[in-house]
Amino acid sequence: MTNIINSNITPYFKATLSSPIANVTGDGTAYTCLFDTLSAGAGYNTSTGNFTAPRSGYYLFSITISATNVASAHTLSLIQLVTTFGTFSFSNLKLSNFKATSNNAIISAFVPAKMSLNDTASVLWTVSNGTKIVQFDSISSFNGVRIY
Amino acid sequence: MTNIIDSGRQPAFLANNSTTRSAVTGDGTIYTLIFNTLINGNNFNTSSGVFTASVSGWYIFNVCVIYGGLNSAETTGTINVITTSVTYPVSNGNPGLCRAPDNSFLLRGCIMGNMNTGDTAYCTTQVSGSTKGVSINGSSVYTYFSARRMF
Repeated sequence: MTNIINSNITPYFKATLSSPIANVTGDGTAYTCLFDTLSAGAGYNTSTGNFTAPRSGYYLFSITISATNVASAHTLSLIQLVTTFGTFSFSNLKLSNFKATSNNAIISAFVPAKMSLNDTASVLWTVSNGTKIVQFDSISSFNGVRIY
Repeated sequence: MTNIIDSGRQPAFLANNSTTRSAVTGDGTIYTLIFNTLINGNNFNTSSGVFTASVSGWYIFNVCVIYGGLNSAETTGTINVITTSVTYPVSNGNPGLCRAPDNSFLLRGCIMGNMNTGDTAYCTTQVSGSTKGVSINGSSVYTYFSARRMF
């Protein structure tokens, strides 16, 4: 096929979670989501939760947060992409209403962001008004690709 | 202008659904979403709801549906993007409790995933907790599926 531009050097990463992490938020704790597996690509630090941009440009981030063990007291969930350039909130809802029968919820979004060389990006998740029992579930993922 | 690289021929499509699909879920039935109008792009089957990758690579997928006919008992609603190699849960919530006054609720999700040449991708939705009375409303604005190869 002609006219397809293939770039093997496009910065990208796919970070996933191999097993759930319990008790990460729920009481207002702002949890930097730590994905323990770099499934593809490069630039993601599984210890800090930061992606570091190897090239400047505009990136598209794909974020999925899976929450389990959500209680009726957990009335607020805020999910943000935090970059060196700025913080971008993309989900703010009453999690206790949104959670399904099994007390879980999955929220996903695309977030575009400008990144300069060596800028970092991470996902920050804050659930409030209850106790710190909300679990960060393994369906969650954090992905990014440089668009231009 | 020099130095602009036009990658507008990346495989991509946008499709929406203009026909209400009545009573397709609500009792736990898993329904394959149909998008009967291809707005642009190609390699999308408007009868089956299946996209076929013509080139391998990393694709972004975005899906949105609006349910109709909800009641308070329908407390679980999910959307999956299903590719040949991986099933991606992209949304899970409580449409019954969060529904609008007209008993509708919009659920959406997105993901980035790898596709090999010839791989397929489609979406399913499932609402549980009651009888099979939940519809997917026909709406070109609220019910759509799109994909684009990124690299």
